[in-house]
Amino acid sequence: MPNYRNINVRSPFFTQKATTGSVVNCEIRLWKGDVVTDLPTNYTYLLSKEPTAGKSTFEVAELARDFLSHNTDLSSGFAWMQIILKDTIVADDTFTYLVSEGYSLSTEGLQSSNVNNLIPSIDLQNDWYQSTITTTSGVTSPIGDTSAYNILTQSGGGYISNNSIQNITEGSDITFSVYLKGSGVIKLLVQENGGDYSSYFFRDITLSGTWVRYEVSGTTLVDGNSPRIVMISQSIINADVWTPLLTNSEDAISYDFVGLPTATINGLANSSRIMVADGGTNSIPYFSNSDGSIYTVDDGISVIIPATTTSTTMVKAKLVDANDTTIDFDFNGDSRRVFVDVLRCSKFDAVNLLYVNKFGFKTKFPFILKSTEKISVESDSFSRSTVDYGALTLNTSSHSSRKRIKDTKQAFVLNSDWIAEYYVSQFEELMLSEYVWLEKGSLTLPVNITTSKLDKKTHINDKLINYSIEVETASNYINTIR
Amino acid sequence: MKIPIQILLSVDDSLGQPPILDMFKDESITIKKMVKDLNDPKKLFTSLSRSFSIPASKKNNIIFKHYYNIDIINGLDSRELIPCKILINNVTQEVGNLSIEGVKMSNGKAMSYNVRYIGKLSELSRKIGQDKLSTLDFSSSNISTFSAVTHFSDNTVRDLVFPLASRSKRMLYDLTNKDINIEGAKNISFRDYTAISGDKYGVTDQDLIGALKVGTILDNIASAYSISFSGVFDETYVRDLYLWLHKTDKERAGEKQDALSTDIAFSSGNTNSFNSTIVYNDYIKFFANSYPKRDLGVKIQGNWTGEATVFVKFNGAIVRQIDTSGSSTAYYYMRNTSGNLTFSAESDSSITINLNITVAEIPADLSISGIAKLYTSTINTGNAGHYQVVNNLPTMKILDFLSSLFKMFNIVAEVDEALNIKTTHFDHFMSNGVSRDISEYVDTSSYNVNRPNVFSSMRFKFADPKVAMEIGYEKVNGKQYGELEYDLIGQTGVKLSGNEYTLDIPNQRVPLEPLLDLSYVSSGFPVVFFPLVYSQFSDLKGAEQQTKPMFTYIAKNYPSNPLSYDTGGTITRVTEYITPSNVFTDDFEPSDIPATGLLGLYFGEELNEYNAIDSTVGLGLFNNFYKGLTAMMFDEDKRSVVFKSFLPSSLVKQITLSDTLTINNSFYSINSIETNYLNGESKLDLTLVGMSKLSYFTKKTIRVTNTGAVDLRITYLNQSGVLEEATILIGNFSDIALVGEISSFSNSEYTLVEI
Repeated sequence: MPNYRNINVRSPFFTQKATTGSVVNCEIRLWKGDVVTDLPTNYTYLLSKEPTAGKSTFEVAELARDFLSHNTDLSSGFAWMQIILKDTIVADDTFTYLVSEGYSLSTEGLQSSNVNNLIPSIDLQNDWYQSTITTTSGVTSPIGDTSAYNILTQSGGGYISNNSIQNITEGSDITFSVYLKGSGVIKLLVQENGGDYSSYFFRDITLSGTWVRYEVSGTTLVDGNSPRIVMISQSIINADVWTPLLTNSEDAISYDFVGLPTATINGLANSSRIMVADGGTNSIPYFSNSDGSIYTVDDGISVIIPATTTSTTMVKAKLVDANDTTIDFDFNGDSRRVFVDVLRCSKFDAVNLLYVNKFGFKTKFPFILKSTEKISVESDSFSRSTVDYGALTLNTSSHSSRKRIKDTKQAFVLNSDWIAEYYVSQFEELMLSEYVWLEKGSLTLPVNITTSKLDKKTHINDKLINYSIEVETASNYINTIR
Repeated sequence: MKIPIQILLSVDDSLGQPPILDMFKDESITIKKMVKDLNDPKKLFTSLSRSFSIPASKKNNIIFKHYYNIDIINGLDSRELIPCKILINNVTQEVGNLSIEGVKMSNGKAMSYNVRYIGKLSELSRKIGQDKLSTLDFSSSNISTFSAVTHFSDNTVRDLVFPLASRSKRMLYDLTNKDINIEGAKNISFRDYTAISGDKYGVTDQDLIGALKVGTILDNIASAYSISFSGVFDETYVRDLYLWLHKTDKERAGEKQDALSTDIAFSSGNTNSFNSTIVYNDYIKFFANSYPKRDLGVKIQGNWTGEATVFVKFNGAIVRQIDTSGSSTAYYYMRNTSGNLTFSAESDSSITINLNITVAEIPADLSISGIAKLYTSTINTGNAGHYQVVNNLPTMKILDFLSSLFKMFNIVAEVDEALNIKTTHFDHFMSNGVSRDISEYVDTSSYNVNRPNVFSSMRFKFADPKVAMEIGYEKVNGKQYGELEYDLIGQTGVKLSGNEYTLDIPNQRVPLEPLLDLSYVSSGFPVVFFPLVYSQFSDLKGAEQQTKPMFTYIAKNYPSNPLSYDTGGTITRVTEYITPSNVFTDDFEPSDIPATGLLGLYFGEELNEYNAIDSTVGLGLFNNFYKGLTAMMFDEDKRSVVFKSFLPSSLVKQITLSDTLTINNSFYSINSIETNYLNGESKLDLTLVGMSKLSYFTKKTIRVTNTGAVDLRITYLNQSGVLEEATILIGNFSDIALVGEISSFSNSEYTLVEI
């Protein structure tokens, strides 16, 4: 199974094809359900564009966003999008994404389907150096075509390497990833191409019978030489290989991640934190392609995460409560830790705001301090006659000035606990969310945040950090929906 | 209170939900209902047409396929109308179409769509508004083998008839002197079979003017626009009205003999098959979108003896023609339009034309020569002519045609979603109203009572006189034929101030000339009217006039009045024919109006042209259809009032414009109701009236007792809204259920009691 990339369609997403032709067509299919079996036959949209400077570029995020709809179900709000770029000259480019209603910040650059592979060729048979290894092309790939290769070593082992990598700044962070399947133990190695062939970083992988995308990241040394990538084994391996990819680490795409802001917390990189009101629950959303990934709760029990191909289950949620302290995720060797902070207040009942966050995933922000509730009414009135002309009496029990209620709203003012600075980014995501629900006891209400400004508080400036927020129900207080 | 508005589309939005557009919460819609609009066909087909701004939400984006994104090929064509309904409070208020007008963008992102709702009726109005009667398909009424004398001599009541009429010369009737020797006149009585030269004796082919049944025209309108008429338009006194198919002789066309080429056969040239063309015996079919794309060029050359014109027609329109034997046309190219090519010839006599047709199929850009073939055909124009309705129709828009009927018969119409048009006489429409007390919903805190638009005089008239009989009538009577004019005088004897109410019908209304036997006149016998009339279409000098569209009823003639018909040097004796009539008698001979007449095509009172001593009092259009309306308008006991109200949406839906509203113990008739569905406020434009309902709009039963010595015949509008007649025998009575009052009595000896 190939790994699918998650894209955030509240921000633009570009796809591009270089062509020598006069026009490029872009077929877009959007659907929910299984990525293969539910793929629609007919395209949803067909776009067409003449190339500029030999490239046709399409922006497709807004088209995909229409197909996402949210409710309080954590699995709602996801769909598949397939993009096929055609110019009738070279082979079609096909991309399949899981789309969610997240966004990227302006400082994070453009989202696009272009991934700059620093490996000049992925033709393992003809363009890679092979030592005591047999390479075969035409092997069935994870997407069902025959673009994969097989590499086979004997008992003495062997290796295959690409020695033509250029344009990498010495001392920079790079990521090497590749799909592998088979038997034996293989090492993914990035080392100096020349000199003493110093090893920059590596990862040993025990192959399995299913396709898995493996990744290794690290920093190159300043040694006067370019790096080279190597797949090497000391013993017998029989491995199918597909799409080796080398990128600068900032361009690397996370195919598995926890859907919470990450930071180096307690000295641990790629860590996250989540708040849970005492007596309540929260959910850690995570996106997992990798079969065999696991998460481990602080009691040490590990749970294997099964791979899935359904849009509603690609993003999962690990429920946490006040008993949890840390949850460790291991996406095939890529580790993430989530710390659980339990918020307690003996005076007020907690109110949670469930919201769609920056990644299009749902999580909660608890407000455990004082919360108030109010309703607002808009009305007018008109004067009318209350004379009964038949009986010639004045109906004194009727309203001669008649009031008409035009609008009613229910609003809440919520106060957060005194929070750590790294939760400010979650509060920011809450403010930027278009879908928010208020949970109070057993009551769940769709609400809109009416607070329009956020001061990004810091401990240096503000010492203790606390937020107050006002929300309004997303419907009239009186039911007027017909 | 805000009343929810929804636009429901008849399209699949791919979301598996009802395709209801997302609306802004403050989007408002105002709908106005007006009484006077019901009486005007131009307004009748006017429904809501307005722009909305709707959010560029996910659902709306899917429906409008991101119209702003020009890269999308399978997007929305803004010319494409999307069927939709407007629901107000979950009830269908309007049916129509939606078209996109634009998208408001902000920072490259769509924020809202501007869409225009076009009511189904508006679209229909746009179509009908531009069309003339000639755009309708009258082919089933055409006469392909037309013999003038035969069709004139047929007194069968049918769709297309030829009532007795003259284009130029005055017709006279002299049973003694065949040659009456009066300039500009001719004798049409039958004396013998010998013709007189100089058009002095007998009806001629040139005189014939067709008349087409209004019912047929209405059926064609209904068919052409997928609408249906019901109510008054189904009644015989409307359907059996006829429209004269009059065009002056210079403009008229179609009576020439012509024929179609039906034996097109390959003769010589390239034998390869055409890509874009199929040649049949009687036409050539061309496909503009053939593959590979080809154009077609066609030219003809013809040879014949005598006078003829040969036409090349593409989709029925003449595109090339030749008038001289031996000549040929230039090529005609079809370009990008598919259709059929036909070849026909027209001649005053029977002529055989040998036709050579060159057909060249070439690339669409005409860059290189293609396949050329020669075909031959023979056209024989034959002896028989033909009569095409469309060539003789007066120039008249469909809306003007309907407007004429609406005005003549004072019809109001209501149109439903399925385009069923229910037509009702105004009095009947008003009689169906009920009284509703809406006091509790009306804001009486502030309102004004104003002087209404009062009238002090009225004038009902037709088009200005043009033909001799109209001019003569006006000189003798000091008014136009059919006209009604009245000035209201106050109690002090002076003319009242106020506007003139004018009903102007742009139709010609010509008095018919009764024919009397000149020999009786010259011999000193009393003038005796024969039950025979005709319609003249020329002025006092005998010059044919182009009249405004003109309607007539028809009648069958007395067999005792045979006419002479000059078929070109030979006289035919015609004993059966059809004559025009200004009174509806259900096709009977109208000599005895009191026994058969139901309705006259005039506003005031006119004599019976067939028998001047008959009483026709009460048969006019005003008396039958306008008394109630004018009583309403001329009543001094009324005031204009505008209220603000907050009617529940159910009540807004229930109230009809014929209802009488009661507000704080006063009665109000409705001029218009304008409801804003955003805030639920209805603006009531009302007329404060003294009585809840005028007598003319009241359904009642009257016992009519005949106290005279002869049978009493009455006409009235029955409670179903249809003009009806009843005969009450001597000494008897009859209980008449009617709307308003009895329109006409055949004599004045009766008593009336309302029961």
